Amino acid sequence: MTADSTSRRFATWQIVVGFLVIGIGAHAISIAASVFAVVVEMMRARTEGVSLSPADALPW
Amino acid sequence: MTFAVVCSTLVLVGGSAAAAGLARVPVRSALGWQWPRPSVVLLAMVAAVAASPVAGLFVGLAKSVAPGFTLGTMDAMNRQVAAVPVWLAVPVFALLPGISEETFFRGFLQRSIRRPWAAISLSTCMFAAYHVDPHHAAGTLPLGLLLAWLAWQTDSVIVSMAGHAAFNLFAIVVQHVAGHDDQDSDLTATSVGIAVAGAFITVVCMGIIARISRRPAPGQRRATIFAR
Repeated sequence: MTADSTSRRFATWQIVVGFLVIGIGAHAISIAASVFAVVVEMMRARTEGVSLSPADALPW
Repeated sequence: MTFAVVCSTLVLVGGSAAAAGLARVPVRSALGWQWPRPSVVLLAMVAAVAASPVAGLFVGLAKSVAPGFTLGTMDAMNRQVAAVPVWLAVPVFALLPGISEETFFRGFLQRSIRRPWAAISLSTCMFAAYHVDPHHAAGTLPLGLLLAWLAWQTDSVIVSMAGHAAFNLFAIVVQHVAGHDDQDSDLTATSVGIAVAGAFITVVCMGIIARISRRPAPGQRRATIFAR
């Protein structure tokens, strides 16, 4: 497949939308993963009888 | 944090590759995943590490101009880097960001813009904005400019990946050896002098790279996701 024979390349607005979706998506999934890690840490602490606040459960 | 970095890497690389796939262009050439000469990669790494004091100067400048204008993410990240062992910090904070951010900013975005200086300046600004925290963004401006130029000049994102990874690796080593962030510098005559010396080395490396790397001819078409 060559770049020019079958390509279906994007217009500027599609590039901008794609850029925003991927960039914001990467941040959103990072935040979601951090929240997930905090919840897991809080649940793990609770099974050991320790009550952690979300701030204490942050990985730093 | 490790999980978060891995997830965002998957989004940035996967999203960029998916865009190239949807555009039905060869993914590797559309995103600039082309192997350069090893000497160019080595020079790019030296140039990026030498630019570290300049980035530190920008952070110091931002801190002195607007000390409260921060989300504190740089400090949080530095604590995290210091808290994990080097064998984990290097892939998570040096290699993965290098691969994912370069693929996205220099591969997806920069290669979609026709005019070189528009492409370089826009990818530099977006790269800084991506780091959200104003102090952190200030530090990424000179690095982003260097990496954008490297990717454009060599027509390879692997060169900027190597530079980015080397820059982050140097920061990790300084954090673990010296116990503080290499970009946590005050605006003193010494730090300015070190930054000037670093900038000189960076410019020399850029000059050598410009001489030994060859850009495609202006009329030579290359795969891109943008309908130019």
